[in-house]
Amino acid sequence: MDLRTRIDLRDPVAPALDDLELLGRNHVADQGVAGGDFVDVVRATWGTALTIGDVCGKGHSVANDAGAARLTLRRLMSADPNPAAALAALNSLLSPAAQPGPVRGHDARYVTAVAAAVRTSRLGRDVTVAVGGHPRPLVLRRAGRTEIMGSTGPIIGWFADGRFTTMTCPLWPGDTLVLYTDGCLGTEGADEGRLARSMARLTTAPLAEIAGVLEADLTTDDAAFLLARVR
Amino acid sequence: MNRKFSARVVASDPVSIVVGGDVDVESEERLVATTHAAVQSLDQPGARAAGLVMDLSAVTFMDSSGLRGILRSQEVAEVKGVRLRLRPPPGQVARLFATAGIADRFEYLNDVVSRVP
Repeated sequence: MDLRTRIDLRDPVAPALDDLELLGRNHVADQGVAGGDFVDVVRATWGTALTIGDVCGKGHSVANDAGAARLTLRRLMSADPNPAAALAALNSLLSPAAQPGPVRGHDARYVTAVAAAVRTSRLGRDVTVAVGGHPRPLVLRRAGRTEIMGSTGPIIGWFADGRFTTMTCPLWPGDTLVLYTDGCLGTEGADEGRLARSMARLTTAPLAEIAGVLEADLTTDDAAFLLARVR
Repeated sequence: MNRKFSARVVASDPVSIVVGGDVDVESEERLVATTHAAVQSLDQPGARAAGLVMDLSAVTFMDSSGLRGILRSQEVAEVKGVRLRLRPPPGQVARLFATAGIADRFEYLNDVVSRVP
């Protein structure tokens, strides 16, 4: 019996968008205890911000931090479509000011996250991403290619001097952006390449089918993902 | 499925913390406690200068809590001015470090193999 709690992404978390088809789910491993993974979509004046993240640890205080991180990134991304700046700002808010400081305990938190900005210009649509200690997003090209996107930055909230970088690539109608947490990487451990290969035959599949593949080998931990296909 | 965690301090030169099994939410505290004990054991100036080596080669699995245990262990050594070096970890742990963007936050012990020409 599956004891997980599945939370589907829906209003007001996911606004109805005419340019993106969205499917987001958050599987909470411990029933009755809110999880540490989060997903978010927000329509901004400049376009659409998509974020996903994972707060290290278990229990209610972790879920509380996940909600705080989600809304902090939402606010930062709404104001400025610069995902690296958003992750850096969250890192500054969470990291202790001086190192080496006192030794941190088991209740010390760090966050991993991906922030993405989808924009339309006169040249077409593009996405800019930044990654903090998190599995990198995938872009499933309608033509059949699968790309791992972005460059890895450090976990958020542990190193005050953490540096984050952005990467931008074009998105064409039918392309799908896949954001996910490590709970979707299966029991073999964090292997982005293996997941990317398993997606190769699904680049034009309905989003629900892609979701099914992501859910096929969930770890015992929380697992969340957010799929966004360009209309 | 859980492979039994173990962490012990070996009085080698330099002193080593040999870690094995699953490093996760169940074992994080014991890892940090073992590092603390290893740091305390460096009472000779020579041993302090040589620092500590954490050997992760027998680790079977590590999750985000285990990773936090490694980061906290690094702090435990750092605040006492002890250099903590890692032996290059096995694949899953190396991938975890890479995904977390922290592989370059550690010092690694390069085994010097003496070659006879």
